[in-house]
Amino acid sequence: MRCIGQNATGAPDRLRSVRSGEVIREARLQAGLSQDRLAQRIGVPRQSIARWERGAVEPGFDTVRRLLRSCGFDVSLVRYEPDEVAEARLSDKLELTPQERVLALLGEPGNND
Amino acid sequence: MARPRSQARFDPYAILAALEQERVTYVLIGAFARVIVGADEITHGVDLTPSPREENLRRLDLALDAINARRPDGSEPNVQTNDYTRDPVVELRTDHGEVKVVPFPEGTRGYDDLRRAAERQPLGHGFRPSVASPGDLARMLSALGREQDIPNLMMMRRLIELEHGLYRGMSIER
Repeated sequence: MRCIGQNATGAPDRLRSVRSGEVIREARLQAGLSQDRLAQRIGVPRQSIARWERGAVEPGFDTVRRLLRSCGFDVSLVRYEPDEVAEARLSDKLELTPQERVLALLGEPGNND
Repeated sequence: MARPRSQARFDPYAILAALEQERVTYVLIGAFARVIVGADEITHGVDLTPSPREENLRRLDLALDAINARRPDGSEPNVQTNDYTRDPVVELRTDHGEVKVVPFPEGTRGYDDLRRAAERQPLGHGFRPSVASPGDLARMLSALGREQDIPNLMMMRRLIELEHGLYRGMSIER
């Protein structure tokens, strides 16, 4: 399974903003659907799909979600509250080598105490 | 006093050594893999997705036997004959910590899917196991759809962002 907008390493395919039309098109193509078929699935004219994909009209969030679900994908909003302490710990871990990360794990309180 | 098996001292190197000894082909997944790629988590076990080839599963059974792996009910595992439709995760306790064998993790098509983006990570003592990519590790957490995994999923996504930020910084310096 490939997440839309990510390459095989999970990184964004392109480091730029992505229009909803591009996401809809990508989901439709990955699902192997024609614009006609997707339009039938959600009960709108094919032209609506084409306009959304071109970016001529920006669909609302609920419409995007309905379109993606029809293609077998989903989109959801998850509240994200930055935690500065966790962020700092994560940055510190990234500075370590894989070996150092494992040794740090084995030295954590609660692990092997 | 010897620890009960459920509290065996976690020694991932001993588990990896047993796998290495039998030349098992696998990709590390789960919390231990996330720690290796940089996540800030605590775990007491090793989760892996083995190559599904029959010979490889036979070797995995030998490796698990060498570390005295048992199911929670005390029975011996047999990853070759396990019914994965009924029992998709083989949970084991060993002399060196917990081991989970997961041939088809949620959101993936198994070993052949994961190995493409997996990387060998140097863990010292000569071990360079194949570890699932951060993207695949995040995808597996996401596919599980468990509320308790959301913080770890957010952390993995942030880790991927930070990793790419670091990479971009390194590129500029060159």
